[in-house]
Amino acid sequence: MNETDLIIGIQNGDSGSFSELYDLYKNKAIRTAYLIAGNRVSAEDIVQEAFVKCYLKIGELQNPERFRTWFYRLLVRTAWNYAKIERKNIPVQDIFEAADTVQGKSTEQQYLESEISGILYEQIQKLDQKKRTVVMLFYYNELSTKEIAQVLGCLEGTVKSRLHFARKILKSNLQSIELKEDGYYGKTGYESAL
Amino acid sequence: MEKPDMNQRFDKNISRALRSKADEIAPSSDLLDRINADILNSERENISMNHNLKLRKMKPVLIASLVLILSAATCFAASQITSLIGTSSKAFDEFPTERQVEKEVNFVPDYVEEFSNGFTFKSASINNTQALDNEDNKVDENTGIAFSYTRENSEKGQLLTLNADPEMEGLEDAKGPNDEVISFGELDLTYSSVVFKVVPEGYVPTEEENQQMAAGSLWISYGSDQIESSNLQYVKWVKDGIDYNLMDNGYEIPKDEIIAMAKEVAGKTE
Repeated sequence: MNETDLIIGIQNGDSGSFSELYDLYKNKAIRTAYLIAGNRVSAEDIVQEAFVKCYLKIGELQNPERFRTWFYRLLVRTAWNYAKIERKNIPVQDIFEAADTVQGKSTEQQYLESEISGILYEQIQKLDQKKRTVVMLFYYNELSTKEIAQVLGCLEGTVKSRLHFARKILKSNLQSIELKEDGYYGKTGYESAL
Repeated sequence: MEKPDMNQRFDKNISRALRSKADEIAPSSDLLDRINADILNSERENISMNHNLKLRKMKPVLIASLVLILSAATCFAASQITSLIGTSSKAFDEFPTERQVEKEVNFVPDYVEEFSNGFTFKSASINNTQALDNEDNKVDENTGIAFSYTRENSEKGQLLTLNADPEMEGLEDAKGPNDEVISFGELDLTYSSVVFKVVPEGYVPTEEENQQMAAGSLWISYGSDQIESSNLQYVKWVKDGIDYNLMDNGYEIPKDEIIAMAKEVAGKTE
């Protein structure tokens, strides 16, 4: 069954279709939630709540072909709500967990890429919530700016503007790190990120 | 040599950074179970809000399960079961053979392809019903089948179903306030009817409606844009350990006719 058939199936009360839809979206959903929330426990809670809302509200979705943006809208809103609560309840140092596992890197290039990715990710996390979400939906979820506008309920121009400024901030921050730590990491690594 | 596009390279690095971080996590194996449990709890909370009669927008296939839940609700007090939860999946678009049915549900119920008054088989779905105690522990579970029927000139929203589910242990057969028992050979067929009203969110039942709900003659479901009212009637019986329920929502089949239809099914192997 294709995605549209699954949506119609769920709207008609077919729980098997819901399980299939969950399988289609579970990985992207948990990873998007993880990127927004920054920790595993919240990511699971966010996805759990988003899928429950999805099931309970899917009857309101009139055009099944718009499910993808509709679902990401639910997910992002849920993640933002969690982020609000977490900012109140969790010490800042606990929000962004360090990676549990470091993938084995056999070459210098892989090591360098991993370092650059880590630093870039840290800088992405420092963006404000709206810019960070646009960056994640664009670069990780590979949504178009038009789709992101639908997800966030704003104008496409606003999305483009947030993307533009996010890139600018990231570049600027990476350049300032490069200047500060040039001697330690070597200039070539950061230059390759830019 | 072509100079690499710096912006493209930067974009690629951002994608890689996010993918690399995202790859650290995968959904846990029991996440879907937890989602389903939350959905079931949510459905049940809606049911229990108003003497188990207030429901969110009903999907057609769930209405048949509703009959089971509501008709069983009077028995809960006598057992450790405090709630019944049903899920459904479509299984047959063509009339299934007994072997096909047995493969899905592990029993062969009485069922017909057509009734003498013109209703014919449309589809069938497999229903899973779980009985939970007051701490949400599963105390019983069964798998049954719901046959859906239609006839010429049927309108949207009209529903005729025949449910066949293995008897649930711990639930007693109790007589509801609107029930009428009809003897048929060695079987007791129980006929009941209620007004089924779907209303917009925020609708406040009148005093009269509250009394009708308490008496079991009115069910109210929330979720429609406007007030929609239909008559829902059903005939239920137990035969060879199987609970049968023939339900009409919206066709308004005359009472004698739906009882005759129930006898066609129940008498199939008499």
